[in-house]
Amino acid sequence: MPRLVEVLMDAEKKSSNMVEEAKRRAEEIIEEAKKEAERIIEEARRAQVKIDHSTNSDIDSIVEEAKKEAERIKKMLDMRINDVLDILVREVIFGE
Amino acid sequence: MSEEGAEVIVNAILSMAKRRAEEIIEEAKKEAERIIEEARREAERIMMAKREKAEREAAEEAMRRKSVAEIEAKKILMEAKKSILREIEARIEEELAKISDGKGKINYEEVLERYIKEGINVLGSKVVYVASREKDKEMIKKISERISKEMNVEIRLDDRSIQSLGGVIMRNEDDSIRFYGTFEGRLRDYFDRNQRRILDMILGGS
Repeated sequence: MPRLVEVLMDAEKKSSNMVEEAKRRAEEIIEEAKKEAERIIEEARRAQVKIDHSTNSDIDSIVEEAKKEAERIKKMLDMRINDVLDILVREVIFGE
Repeated sequence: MSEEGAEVIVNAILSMAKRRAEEIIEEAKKEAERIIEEARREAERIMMAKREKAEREAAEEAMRRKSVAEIEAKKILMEAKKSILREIEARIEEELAKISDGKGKINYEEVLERYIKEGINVLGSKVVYVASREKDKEMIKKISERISKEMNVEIRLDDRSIQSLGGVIMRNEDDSIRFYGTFEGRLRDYFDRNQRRILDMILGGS
């Protein structure tokens, strides 16, 4: 009988150790997961977000178009000035 | 109890402990997965917020740059139009100078006669003074003699000469009213009132 008690107590001890070991391992797993979670969040916080400025060319073209338009109206002056000069001179002298 | 019976109990105890240990590890793994999954979702939220902020800032920057470009474009076009007006004004001045030198398409003497009559009507006086360029004085004298009779007004030539492209400056006897009929004055007045119309004539309303 004492032998049986000894065997059972030994089994209980082993059993307890197994569970304790599992708990320690479980804590380690959770700790590792927490560290990994912190790393994931920190990485997101440090990440640089780059946006493509695809509209820049549109913006540049506004000024380019204005320059072309300015050239066009200067050429129109050269073409039309002689047609309207007499009218303008007459209007300046005699009124509209 | 036999030894075999004891072994069965021991195995059962150890087996239960092993299952419990496996359950603990399994639960821990599940909890770890949950923690990491939550972290990933949080990271995604952070990234999304950053993307939205970056996109908003990029849109604001693009809008600001567009406004600057539109102002620049307006300045370019406005300067081009001013340049056109300056050139037209210079060309008209040249033509006015030709006319007052008797080389233009309009008879200068008729212009002066018209201005003097206009001046007489504006001044509403029986005695008027006419100032002109030195070189126009003879012509003014001739015109004045003609108009004096026609309008029954005494026209006196002012001793002073004017520096002008052409035309006259007139006043009544006590100098309380003046009439400005110079080419420069008419040109300035015309441009002040007709800039848009002049541009429309040249650019066809474009």
